[in-house]
Amino acid sequence: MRLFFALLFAAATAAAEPWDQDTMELFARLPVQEGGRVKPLSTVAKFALLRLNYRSSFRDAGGNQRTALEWMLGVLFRPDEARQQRIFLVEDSAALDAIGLEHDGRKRRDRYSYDEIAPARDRLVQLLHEYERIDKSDRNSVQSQVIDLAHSVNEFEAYARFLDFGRAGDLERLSREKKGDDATFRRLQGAVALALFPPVGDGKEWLSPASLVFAEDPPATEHVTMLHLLETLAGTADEAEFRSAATEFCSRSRQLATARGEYRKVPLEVSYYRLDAFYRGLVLYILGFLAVAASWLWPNKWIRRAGFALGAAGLLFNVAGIVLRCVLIARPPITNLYDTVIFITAVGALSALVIEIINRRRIGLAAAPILGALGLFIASRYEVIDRQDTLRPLVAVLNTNFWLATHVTTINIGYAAGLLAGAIAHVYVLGRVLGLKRGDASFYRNVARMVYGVTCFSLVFSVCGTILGGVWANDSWGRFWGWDPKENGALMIVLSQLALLHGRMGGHLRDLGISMAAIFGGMVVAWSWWGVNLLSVGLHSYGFVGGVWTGLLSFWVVEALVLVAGVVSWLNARSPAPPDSTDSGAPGV
Amino acid sequence: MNKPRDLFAGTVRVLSSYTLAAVIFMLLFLLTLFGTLEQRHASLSDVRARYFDSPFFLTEYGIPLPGAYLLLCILFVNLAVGGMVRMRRTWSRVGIFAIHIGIALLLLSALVERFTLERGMLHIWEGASGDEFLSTEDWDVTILEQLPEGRERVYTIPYESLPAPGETAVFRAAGLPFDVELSGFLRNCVPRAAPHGSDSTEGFVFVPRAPATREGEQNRPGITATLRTANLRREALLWGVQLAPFVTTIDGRSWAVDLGPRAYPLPFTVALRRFLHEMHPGTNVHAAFSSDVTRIEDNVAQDVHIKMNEPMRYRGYTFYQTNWGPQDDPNATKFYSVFEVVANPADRGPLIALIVIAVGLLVQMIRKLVLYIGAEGRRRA
Repeated sequence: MRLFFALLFAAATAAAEPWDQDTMELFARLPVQEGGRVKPLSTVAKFALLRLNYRSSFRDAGGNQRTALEWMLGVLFRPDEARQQRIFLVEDSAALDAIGLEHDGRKRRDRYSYDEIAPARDRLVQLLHEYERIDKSDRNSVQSQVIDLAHSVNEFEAYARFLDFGRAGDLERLSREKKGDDATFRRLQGAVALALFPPVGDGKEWLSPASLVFAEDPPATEHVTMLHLLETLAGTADEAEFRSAATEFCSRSRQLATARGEYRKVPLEVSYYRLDAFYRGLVLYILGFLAVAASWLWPNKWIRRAGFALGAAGLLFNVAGIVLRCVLIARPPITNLYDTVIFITAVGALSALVIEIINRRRIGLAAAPILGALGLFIASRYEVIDRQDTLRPLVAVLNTNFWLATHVTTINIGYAAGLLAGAIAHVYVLGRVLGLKRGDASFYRNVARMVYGVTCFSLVFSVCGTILGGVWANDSWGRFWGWDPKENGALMIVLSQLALLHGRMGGHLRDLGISMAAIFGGMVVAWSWWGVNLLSVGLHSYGFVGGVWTGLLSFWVVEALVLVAGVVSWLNARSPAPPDSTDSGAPGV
Repeated sequence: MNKPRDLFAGTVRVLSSYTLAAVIFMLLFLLTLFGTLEQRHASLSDVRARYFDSPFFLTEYGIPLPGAYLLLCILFVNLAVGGMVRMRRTWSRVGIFAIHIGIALLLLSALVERFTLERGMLHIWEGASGDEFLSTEDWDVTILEQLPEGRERVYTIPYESLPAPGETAVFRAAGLPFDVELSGFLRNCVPRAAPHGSDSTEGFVFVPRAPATREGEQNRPGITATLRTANLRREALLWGVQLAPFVTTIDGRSWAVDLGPRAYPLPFTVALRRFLHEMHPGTNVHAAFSSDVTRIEDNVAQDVHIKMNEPMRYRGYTFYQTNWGPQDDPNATKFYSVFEVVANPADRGPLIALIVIAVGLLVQMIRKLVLYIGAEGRRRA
């Protein structure tokens, strides 16, 4: 028994053996073509691990935090160890019951290793085929999880099998023989997971070892050399030999990619993910909000200034992240739903800080870090829900920088301002409901003016963005307006804001009414931004994401409660001569 | 004595009021919301027809609402009367004035489009050409008489005149030696062998299918045509996508009856030289697709490149790169291109309206912002 535990300990210690920094650096920048673009291996690793683990890092057997790249190198070069790492997240153990896997003593939501899941693999594959025949909208939670787990296992196996050809021995004949050689082909056919070989000719598609056999007959000398290096990497136990082969392989790969002009942005992408600008921005926004909150308890201009500086620093990281993404993909700021989150967050926070600079009423000062932190938190959650590379190439109809820069950017500025107006309006409604600043009518008057101003700002961009979208649709699909849900969502924002403005001009909405209408406007923005995507109808298929329904519904319920509280406040204000009412005696809300 | 004047003034006041505008915007909001939700299980064209064309209708939740065209007409009146009566003509209101002019232009564009739009598809194989496009929504019944020396005489019963499902209509025309009775119209159907003993036309019946719900999908309509004279009766099932018309001889004259998409002739010819498509490497995602075409008019040829987001506009027609094929054949060496062809005199209306509205909004916003910053500056000072 002691011997067993000693072996177990030894295995755990071996698993905890970290990759040295130089090797990590080499492989971090190794260019790979995936999802239509060339990216560093570290990016591939990040999203692969995110798909399996719902995190882009993991804990090894020794409890040490490891990076996604370390995991990827482990799966590729030390697959036996990687199979013991608990990186498969099972959200609900009911999925394990479905595949007949024992899980006694484990939490309902827990992580499992490949070796732990392997005994139920056949059943998992069987259920995968069965459940995939069910329409996606009709699947229950367990069926979805089983499919998810099966895909994760498949992906893991693809990486773990990738270098099996190298571990099996000599590839000498590859340079001499053609694809008719079944033995060579059989050894290489599992090596499909990574397109590591830049084509030597004019082709655009990079090659995996398996596709090399078909694409090149016989393989190019450069590629054969690289295959041999991979063979060495897979087979050697000697650290120096491994390092030497890794250096040689990465260098050759980099040279080929550089010659094709496809390596230029790879180091920048590595730096982008290392900078982790949105996480740092999130932390700074939170610190900014804490400083602002502290200034409410202990009024002091230096604490307020610190709050402003932290909020501005958060915004700086937010914007830096967006700019880096634009450079990496050579596109305007928004190309997918993830981009909208970080962009709207930045515009919302920036607008709030500008308001603060203009009027120094400390409302923008508080709104900026709150919106910023909330937005970047949603962005990080989105990444986990989507679990796909967020820098994706675009489908043909979106493949236009002009319309992305005009329509998409404009409409999202409209969204951001609409949400900001709604956020500021909470100060008015909740302040009234909770009896804050009782008797300070000018405070409420100014908050309402801010809400009105930001709503007008939002309307400018919503109207222009919506019509620009129509003009784009007219150039793409031959119709200005197709009643697509996404188009309708934008129109609904415009209509709700126009109703607000005309209701105000008609004397039906006063300060409280405008604030409540702005909160309702925020709900409409949420519908247009996220809600219409959940209908699974329409042409804007770039924005469909499951798992957001609960969040959206919660938001609407909370906002509806705020509106109900506002109505109660209004009814109270209609009672005779309320001393703190700013609207008393007026016919409007 | 002043009652007519009071009534007129009251009407003008209501028609030009902000309240009316706000109510219209709220109703349009509800209309858009329910129209969007209803698209989950109804075809877009059905939703559009109900929400726009009917003056009043019930949503799927039983809520009565006025139709969109009615509301837009009232909005246009509100805008025009409000502009004339209510709006102060000062420089400070120039932005607001521009915005309203722009919106009026937008509504006018929509009105022009509604009554003049011609829309259809043109499929062309590489090396071939086309000089007419076919409607995707309007299906006409045509009756063609073969005359001597290869000449033809054509009678058309337009889609708008076809009987509604479950109804029957009879058509007569000078020169036609028979009545044409049309019945059993179905917007989307497929012909099947009739069950033994059931009513059928030569052993076949149309089986209805749910109307297409997604953009790009097409309905395949069907109708039963009966040609009647005093002493004979010929019945035929006409299916929108059948390859050959129903052919018969009556009184020694040859007739062909067909149900097909309405054809719109073009005043020029378009020939497809080459179709190009590009995928993002290593994916099934299309990066771009485009067509090299030659436009031929009066023996003058002009080469044009049409791609997504860059249509060809010529003589009031716009050609959009919409689709291509064959997409299910990975070894295809010859391709066809599908262009959506639209003739819309108000094509550029929305763009002009956008420019006017954007200028108005910017002027108004900058003015208000400057005033606000000034007021805040004075307050802090």
